[in-house]
Order: sequence, then C-alpha cells, then structure tokens
Amino acid sequence: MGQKLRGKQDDFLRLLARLSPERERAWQEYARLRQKLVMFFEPHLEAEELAEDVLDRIAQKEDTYPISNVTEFAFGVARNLRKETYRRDQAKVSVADDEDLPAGKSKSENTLIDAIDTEKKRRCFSLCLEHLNPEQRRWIFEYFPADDWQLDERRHQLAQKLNLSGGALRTRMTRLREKLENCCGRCVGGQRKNGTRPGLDQ
Amino acid sequence: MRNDLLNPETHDLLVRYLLGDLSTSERERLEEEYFVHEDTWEALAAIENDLIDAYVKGKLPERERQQFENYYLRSPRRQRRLEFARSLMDAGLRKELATPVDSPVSLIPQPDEPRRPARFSLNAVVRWQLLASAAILVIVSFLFWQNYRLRIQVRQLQSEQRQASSSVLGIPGQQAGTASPADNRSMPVIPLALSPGILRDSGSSNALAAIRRGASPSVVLMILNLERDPYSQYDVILQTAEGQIIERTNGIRSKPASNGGRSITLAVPSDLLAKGDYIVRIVASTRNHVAVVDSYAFSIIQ
Repeated sequence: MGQKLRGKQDDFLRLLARLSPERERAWQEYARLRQKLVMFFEPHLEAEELAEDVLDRIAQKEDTYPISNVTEFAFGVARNLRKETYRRDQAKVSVADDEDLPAGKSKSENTLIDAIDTEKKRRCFSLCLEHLNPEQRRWIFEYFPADDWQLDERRHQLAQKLNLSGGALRTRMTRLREKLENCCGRCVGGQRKNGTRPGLDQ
Repeated sequence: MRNDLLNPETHDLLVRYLLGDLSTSERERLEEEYFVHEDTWEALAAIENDLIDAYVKGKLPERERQQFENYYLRSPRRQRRLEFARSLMDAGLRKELATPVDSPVSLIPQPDEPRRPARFSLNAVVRWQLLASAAILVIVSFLFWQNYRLRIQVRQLQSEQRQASSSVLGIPGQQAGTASPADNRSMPVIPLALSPGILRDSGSSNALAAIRRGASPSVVLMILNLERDPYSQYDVILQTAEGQIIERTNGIRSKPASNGGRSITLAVPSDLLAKGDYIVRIVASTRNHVAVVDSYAFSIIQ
C-alpha cells in the first residue's frame, strides 16, 4: 500500500513538473486545467470524477512519454474519455430522480435536512465573508447586488473608482467570487464539530 | 478573444454552449478554443456567472430558463454554484451580516485620511492584486493537494474495508479495534456495519448498533448498506440524535458490498464521537431539492 501511495505521489509530481518547472506556477496550471476539464464534461453527473480520471491518465505517463503541451494533450484524452463515457452511459439505465423513489419518504425528513443545509450555508457564507477585507466585501456587494437598480451604471462607477476597465473589473470580480465560493464550498462540505473555521487563506 | 467579450455573437455562442444549445461541431470548436486560449476561458467563466445570476434574479427568457434548468443544472457542482449565487444575492442575509454595504465603495480617501497622490492609489491596487494572487495561489494549491491526498486516502480505506468485511463486519455491538492491516502508520480502525431502517422501524433488531471506543484515538469505519442505489453519488450527514451535525461528506459514490448489494463507507475519527446516540443520513441532491435516501442509527456506549 505504501508503495502504491508513493507511486501515486510520484505520478502527481511528474504531472506538476510537466505543467511547469516552477512549482507554484505548476499548481496554478493544474487548478486551471482541472476547471477546464470539469467544464468540458459537464453537465455529466460525474464530471468531476471524469476530470480526475483524465488527470490520472496523464499523470501515469512515464517521463519518456513525449507530451509537448499538457493542456492540448489533456483535451485529446478528455475527448476520448467522453466518447467512452457516452457509450457506457447508453448501456445503463438512466439515473432515477427522486420522483422515482418509493413514495412515503417522509417530507419532514426532507424539510429537516433542507433546514439544516440552509442554516449551515448561511453560516458558512457569513464566515467566509468575514475572511474578506472590508473593501473586498463592499466590492462583492456592489458588483453582485441583491437588486438590479442601475446595475450597469453602478458597475461602471465601481470600475472608475478602482481605475479599471470594465473587462478588468469583471475578471477581478469573477476571481474574488471564485475565492468566496471555494471557501463556502469547503465550509459546507467539510466543517467539523471541533470548531475549525473555514478560511480563505488556509 | 478578450476584445470579443463585448461582441454579441461571441457572448451568444458562450451562453448557448453553457445551455447545451450548440451543434456538436460548434461545441467541439469552442471547447478546443477555451482549452488553448485563456481569454476565452475567462470570458466563459464570467458569462457563466452572469447566467447563474440572471437565473437567480428571474431574468432569463423562458426558453433559456428551461434550458438552464433542464441542461445546465444537471451537474451537482453547478447546483452548488447556484446555491452560492442565491446566498450571494440574498438581501435578507446581507442585512443579517450588518455590513455597511450601502456605503459607497471607497478607494477614494475618506475625510480623515491624508489625501495621497494618485500614484500611491495605483500602487495600492497593484499591491492588492499581488496579495490577492498570492492568496488565491495558496488556496488553490491547498485545495488541490488536499483533494489529491483525500482521494488516495479513500482508496486506502476502501481496501481496508474489504479486509475488515471478511472478519468482523456485520456484528454490531462487537468491538473490533484493530490496527489497520495495510499501513502501520494508520490509527486503529473500528469497523461498524449498519443497515438502514431506524427511522422507519425502530424496533427492528438491526436498527441500532452500539460500539465501544478504545481509549486511544481510532477511526470508526462505517459501512452503510444501501437498500437501493438510485443515484450516482450521495452526501452523508452524521449527526447527534439531537440534530447537531458532526460531519458532512459530499459526493460519495456507492461501492459493491460484501453481501452482494451496494454500500457507502464513511470514516470518522473516534474523537468526534462522544458517548451518545447518533444518526447517519444518506441524502442525494437533485435539481429541485435534497432527498433522504436512507437513515441509520448507532450509539457510542463508552
């Protein structure tokens, strides 16, 4: 088992090295490539697993296997895997929605779970916002307002105040939103009883 | 492509891609484009956010709304993104947070601040960008390293589960604190096989299982046998009988069980489990709501 684990780690490090000789840059490239792969496979229910599968397949290629551009290579692997998956899915019975489940599953249970989920999401959202600095919080609320009153004009003013073009502001806010969203996802999915707080900078 | 962001045709193409409205050849061309060109990818990410926001605000035209619900929202990750957008634009939540969001955005110096030359403001922006980039890099690095590490751990636990099943599993109430046979560095594993039914039939003999924890830290490895397996993945919620959530793990897929059925494995550090009664719920997220698939109960008696 230990050997297998080491093998996996070696594969992963080899993939990172292929992405960039500079470790930090390699991590960024890895993250971006994974996002693209997930988007490529969506809306398949197993899009994230399929993306991991592509990354695993590339990681397992020996050093001697020539890959001149990992992203383009990944695109080719993903395209083949999607074809395989379509063929496999056609042979399967379609996934049941909850309407197909036997009747009688108590609605109160669903309501309870929904209530727990909602409360937890609200708590997580609040905690993650706390990890942004006050200006970032204002930018988020200003750029993504609850109402649409003069939305374009407000965004235009925000861009001017930040001395950015509309496109640059949009890119910046997309990244800030992603940061907040990742924090919330981590918090909702993994918050434990021991009181560890989710953070943006873990 | 960046200049094309404002080009209505490109915008329309990206929206149609997200809504599953492109022909196969158009779709493949666009996919190759965003794999290779970062500008296209960033435009797609921004337009995806706009699309979600428009849906939350009820601003999508009827046809697009239907495509959004029937195609875009099939993916669990996208459903989570929609939930996040709802929180982001929830006016009630903003009030609760008591942040002065209505105050104007202030990169302009406040009256009590010394007025700085514009060059300093620009430096501040550049510093902000550098800091934000560094923070994002750290987060992304951590997330993906964690993700990779957890995947390896899951595979390791699945292997341990197979070995444990052949010996002591299926005997609720029996303590089986044995060291993981696979890896001496692992904590002792207490296997616990559970069958569903506690909420529907609390009198049944297998409805309640009880285990004793050892004094030293260990991992309780729960094998949750499924009565049916209609979804491709599940969320598992471990909570006290009083309703306090101890652990929630999302996106777990079922595996073949030793009894020929399907099961889900959940590993929980024993130090999270104080003496008392617990409920495990397996839920599945669908487009419309969360459905409870099965519930289990057990007690920690010591």
